[in-house]
Amino acid sequence: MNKLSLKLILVSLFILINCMAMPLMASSADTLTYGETKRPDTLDPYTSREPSSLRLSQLIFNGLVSINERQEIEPDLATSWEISKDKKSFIFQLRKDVKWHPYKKQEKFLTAKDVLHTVKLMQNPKTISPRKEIFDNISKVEILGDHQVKFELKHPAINPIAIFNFKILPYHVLKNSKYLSKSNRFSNHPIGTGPYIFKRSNGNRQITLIANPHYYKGQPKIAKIVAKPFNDKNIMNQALSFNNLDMIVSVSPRHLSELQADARFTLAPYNTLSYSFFAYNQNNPHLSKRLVRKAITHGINREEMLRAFFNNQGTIISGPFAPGSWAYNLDVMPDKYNPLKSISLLKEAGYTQTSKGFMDNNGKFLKFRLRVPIEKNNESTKRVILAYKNFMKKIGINIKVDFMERESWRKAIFKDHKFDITFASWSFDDSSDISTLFHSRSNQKWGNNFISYHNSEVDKLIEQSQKSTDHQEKRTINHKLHQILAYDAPYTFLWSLTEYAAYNKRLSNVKIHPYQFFDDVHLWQKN
Amino acid sequence: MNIRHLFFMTIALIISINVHANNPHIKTAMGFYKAMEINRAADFLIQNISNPQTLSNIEKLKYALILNRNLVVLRDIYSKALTTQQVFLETLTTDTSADKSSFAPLFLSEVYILQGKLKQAEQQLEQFEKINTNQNALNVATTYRAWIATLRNDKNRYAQLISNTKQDDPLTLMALDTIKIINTGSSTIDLSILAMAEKQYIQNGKIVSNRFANYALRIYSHRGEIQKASHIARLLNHKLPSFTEEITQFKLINFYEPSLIDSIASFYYHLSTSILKELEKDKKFHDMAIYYLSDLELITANKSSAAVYKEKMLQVKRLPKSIAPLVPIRQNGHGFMYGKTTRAFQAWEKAVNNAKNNPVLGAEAVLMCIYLQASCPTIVQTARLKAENGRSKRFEKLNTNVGWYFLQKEENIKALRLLENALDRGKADGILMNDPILLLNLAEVYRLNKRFSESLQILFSLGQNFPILRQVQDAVQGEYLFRQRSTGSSNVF
Repeated sequence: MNKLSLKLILVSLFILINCMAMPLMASSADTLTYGETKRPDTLDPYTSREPSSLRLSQLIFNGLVSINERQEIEPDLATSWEISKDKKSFIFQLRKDVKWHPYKKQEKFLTAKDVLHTVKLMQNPKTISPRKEIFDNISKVEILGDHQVKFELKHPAINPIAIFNFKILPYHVLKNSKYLSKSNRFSNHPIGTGPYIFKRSNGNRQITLIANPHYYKGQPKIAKIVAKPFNDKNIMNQALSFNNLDMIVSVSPRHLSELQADARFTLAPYNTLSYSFFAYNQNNPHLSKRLVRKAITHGINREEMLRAFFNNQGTIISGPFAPGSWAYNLDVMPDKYNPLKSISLLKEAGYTQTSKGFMDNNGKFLKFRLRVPIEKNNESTKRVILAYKNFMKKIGINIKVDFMERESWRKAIFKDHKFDITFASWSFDDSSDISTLFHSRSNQKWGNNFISYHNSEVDKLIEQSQKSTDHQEKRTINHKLHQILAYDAPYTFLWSLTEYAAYNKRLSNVKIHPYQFFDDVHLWQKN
Repeated sequence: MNIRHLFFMTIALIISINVHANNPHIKTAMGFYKAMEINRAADFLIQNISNPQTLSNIEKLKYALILNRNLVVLRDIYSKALTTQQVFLETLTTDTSADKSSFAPLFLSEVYILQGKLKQAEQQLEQFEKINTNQNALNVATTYRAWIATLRNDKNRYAQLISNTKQDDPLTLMALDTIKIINTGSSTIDLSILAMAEKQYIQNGKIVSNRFANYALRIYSHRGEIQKASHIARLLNHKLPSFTEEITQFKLINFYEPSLIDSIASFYYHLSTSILKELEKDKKFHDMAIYYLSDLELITANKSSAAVYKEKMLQVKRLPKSIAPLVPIRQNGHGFMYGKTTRAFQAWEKAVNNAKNNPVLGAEAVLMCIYLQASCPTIVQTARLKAENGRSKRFEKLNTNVGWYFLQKEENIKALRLLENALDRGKADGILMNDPILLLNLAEVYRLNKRFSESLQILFSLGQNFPILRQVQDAVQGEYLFRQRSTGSSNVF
């Protein structure tokens, strides 16, 4: 038996053992077990920036309104609303039949107090949330009655009703909290009004939710949902094939054609507004130079990586928006792979090349630490990292790769900003709002501008775009932003891959929301 | 017809004729064609081969084949440009902001004219003339009014209108001649006027006005001045807007003319016809030339040639095995245009009934219904069942064509299902390796189902191959922004 066969047998055994060790929930008719690519961070709707957390919070919470997959606003916890002539005041009538999930044997119904408290919590400066900006435009909230609440905005907004899509938190649970943080017990023991009730989280961060019998749209047809995190996408895909999962949120490119050919499964594209990138910490004196960042970008053969590691299932991008976005500037072309140009740019930036090919800066080699979350340590992304390292070597840059446990990575990148380069992906909703990624005010602990990027023109344009109520103006501004950020290269913008969910055809009535994932989940059924 | 299928048919043809291509440009173009970059293939040939008549016959055939495939896609892009531009421009014209576009009504009127909605076009022109004082722009509006008068066959009104246009402006004269070509099939413009316009609008080897390019392509092609039309095509920037309105420093709007796509299509049609007519003279290539000439007439649904090709297609014998079975289906396509509809439906029904065993024939029958805009409910119902049940790659084209048919008939939910099936059956290595017609229709059906980001992502990929798609992309971006309701959420993973 050769080494390769032995390896294959060992891998198969590992997968088999893994799958056998899984609880056989997937086979149970009343349970939907789905595979997540990452452990969820928190379960409240605000403190996490992880899609896995967002997906779960969609199952647990509701907003005053919701946005369906056709971009239409629908009433959710509010039954109706009135808008003032100046489009700055809004009065919402709340549903009277919405019951909060059980908490300390209390039976509580939704009231205007919950709405007011949510806004207060989110507007507290101590609340750290990537979604905090939604609340910036709210100047006043007033309770007009138990089920009537009035909002005032600082300035008119382009989609004013959509603002009220934010999730409502329970006053009776959080009345003693002035702000929301990850350390709050609530963040991991959420109480909501949504179709599913949080039941438990085990040591592997496997989350179990049970159907809310009092859900105002009707009791969900599936009694239990289990979210099971996988470190390795390939194993997750195998688990689906072995019928140990009913659904997976992300199909690895390697398994795409295999699942396409398997009549048991349905593939559903979603989350097209996402892209991968290498980000450069501007606190590093070398990476703060545009020429160095540009040299790195020209030194990476993105086409080759996309072809070799992702079966060409995506598109190379030139800037901070996904090509599926209305904001993508079609006139900005991606930088071409050109290692000679990279070397010449580095020389222009003041570096000299040693006889061994390394880029030298006053006796020190140009070297960076690339920190990558451990979940990225899967087959295709690991190849990307190794290829990046090799491409950098070709232009005389030494890269040391650290694969880090997700929580440590998050802390190092978002809180402490202790890194030179990182590799990750962003996903956006249809607003394609990049303001928190590149505005200097988001350059703070846990802020999204973790690379410490400062560009006053970018700040100004972002502010202008946020204030604008004119669609075409917003588009022009964002096209300009695209152009500037492509020129400045604070990231190497890599590619946008279409994310595919896959689910067993035993599930019916499945609707995948383009960015929230679960849509009308109370109607989903398992046969 | 499936491009991949056609490619293999061409290879089979080459082997059957036992002639090898020597021209390196043809070889390169066929490489692009094989990689599904069919527009790049056509563009490469136009850029690099100044006189196709100097090519060997097999090379001419390949050149024509590439043009024909592009013509199908271009005509479909044109129809998508009309619908997407209409939606986007309508949102602009109903804009209530202070900084409203003043040019949107003008461009919307062109879309309406091309759609035959003459009354709506007139309303937009009225709107435009009320708020605009720019003489050149008003002159364009007058030519549009003249166009409407021609379509209504109102000669007095036409004469009155053209007396108000700038008779010394070459672009206006070209516009009027283009209108004449579109509506009456004749061109009377003095070619020295076109030469004068070339001096004005070709600067440093670049065309600076796509409005000029639009008219020049149409007039030269129609008059058989293929060399001159090719020259314009070589310099054309497909992505260039016809006009950019700078309303404020932060509000720019690009406007495009969908008729430019039709003009490029018209150029491809005339270029391919001229090549194939030459080829027809060679006994060895005669039947293939007829087959592809008939293809051109079917793609453009040209009724005036129906009688000729109905007969000519009966005579063709020397065809590769892969193409020969398609002849009766296509011959009946000409028959259909000639009025022999019952016989045509019978032939097509026979083809779809056998689609389980031969999905290519079924796909071809449905294609005839699409090209000729025929109502074929029975044929398509049978084809749909076969398409949905066929799991293999062979059923990709049948699914595509049935989906395309449903989209043409505005049955979007059915269309989505079939087109997604086609994508699934295609199992292509990367999105661009799919049939452009499939991608184009899938993007459109996503748009109609308000799945804008998916639509734009497909258009983005396809746009790398078909730069003329820019006007569709721009319009869909505009519609998406107008409809999107999200407030900002970014997640890292």
